[in-house]
Amino acid sequence: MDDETIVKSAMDRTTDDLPPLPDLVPLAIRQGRRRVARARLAVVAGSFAVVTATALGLTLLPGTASQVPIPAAPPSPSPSAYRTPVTLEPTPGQQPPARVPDAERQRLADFQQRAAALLDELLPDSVTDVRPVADHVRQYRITAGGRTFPLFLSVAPADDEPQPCPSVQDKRLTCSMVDLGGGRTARALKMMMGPDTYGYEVGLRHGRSRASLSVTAAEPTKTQPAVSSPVTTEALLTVVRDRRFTDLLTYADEHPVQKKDTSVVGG
Amino acid sequence: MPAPHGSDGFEEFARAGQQRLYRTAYLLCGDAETARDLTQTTLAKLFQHWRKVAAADHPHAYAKTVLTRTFLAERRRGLRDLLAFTRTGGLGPAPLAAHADLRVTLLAALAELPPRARAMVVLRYWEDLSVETVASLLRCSESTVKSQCSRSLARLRDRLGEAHLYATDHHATGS
Repeated sequence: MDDETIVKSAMDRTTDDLPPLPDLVPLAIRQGRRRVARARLAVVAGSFAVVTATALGLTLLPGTASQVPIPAAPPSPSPSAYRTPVTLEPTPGQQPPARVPDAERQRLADFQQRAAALLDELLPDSVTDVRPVADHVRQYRITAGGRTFPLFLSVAPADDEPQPCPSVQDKRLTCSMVDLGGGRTARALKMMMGPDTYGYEVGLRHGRSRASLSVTAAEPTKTQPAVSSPVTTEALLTVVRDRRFTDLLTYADEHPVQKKDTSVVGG
Repeated sequence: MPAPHGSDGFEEFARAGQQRLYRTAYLLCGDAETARDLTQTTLAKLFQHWRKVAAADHPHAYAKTVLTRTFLAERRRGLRDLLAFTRTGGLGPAPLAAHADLRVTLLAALAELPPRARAMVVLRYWEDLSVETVASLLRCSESTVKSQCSRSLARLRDRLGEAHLYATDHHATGS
């Protein structure tokens, strides 16, 4: 057997062992639509810059605005749009996640898939990917601008009252109470996580649970510095105000996905 | 298989080709999750330029080109390394297969090659593309492809030595 045949045969056998591939087409179409929309916006932005530079002072011609291509709204996430969970390496000294029965584990994984699909739809277009973190029901990873950021969605039974803003504030923590309508309020936090690096969180009561949605900064790597969360409180509030997100919270409130939690959410 | 025209044709084309792209991506990346990401990104790019893809003489060859160039671009940016860092084990869970050693050895040997050399080997020996096609796809000379492939092939053959014999033995005995 010659070298070429041996290598070809090894490649054949290696790829035969691959785990089955979920249908990537629905996610690819969604990602593709976003690429089309971004490309169109880039063209529009470029044209606008040229027009502005060369014809400053001129008003736009009638009808121009209507010619701007508006990206088509992405379709609702398909149930088959499976998002491969991210698996975290335990850090030294960290306890592995508690073992749960298979059926419960599957229920939590399904909840994460549903949440990830909805978040992908509701978060700004700059967020190009949302994935659950395996075996950590409140953790997700989002991608924006080529960087990965931790996202936390926590819905845990809690007896306490809605948490007000801390009475003492400084530049490391900005807090405001926001009216969501229908008698609901949310606490919006901007948290300094490092020099000029911020994370954001929105917290609220829902039924018998305390819920929070937060995105923290991307940690520095060997080649890249820490980066603030690309999702601000305004974007988080857009998610929280959506009826489908409320439905998700209602499910988690009626069928808890986390244990009763007395710790500070978002961590 | 010719790709059907029209926007609806994309799904059919993608479903027919995704498994093959995934296998190629796996040989390029060396881990199943990253290969899935790469395949998905490739399909998204094909969707973005679907009219052009559908009008091409060989849409599947176009897809391979997009896959390979995306792999090389992402390797340059180090993005895949960053993602892989957050996941367990670069090679993923060990399969319950008789030739697990061969898989590990091959992927380790491929990982020793620089990304472009790895892409050349995969395109030349897995995809069975001609030297001329590989050179065109990677925008380099045919002599570069020939010399790189020759060196890489010898290196892979050297690494595969025992693992290959072991796997062949298992295959022959059916265990």
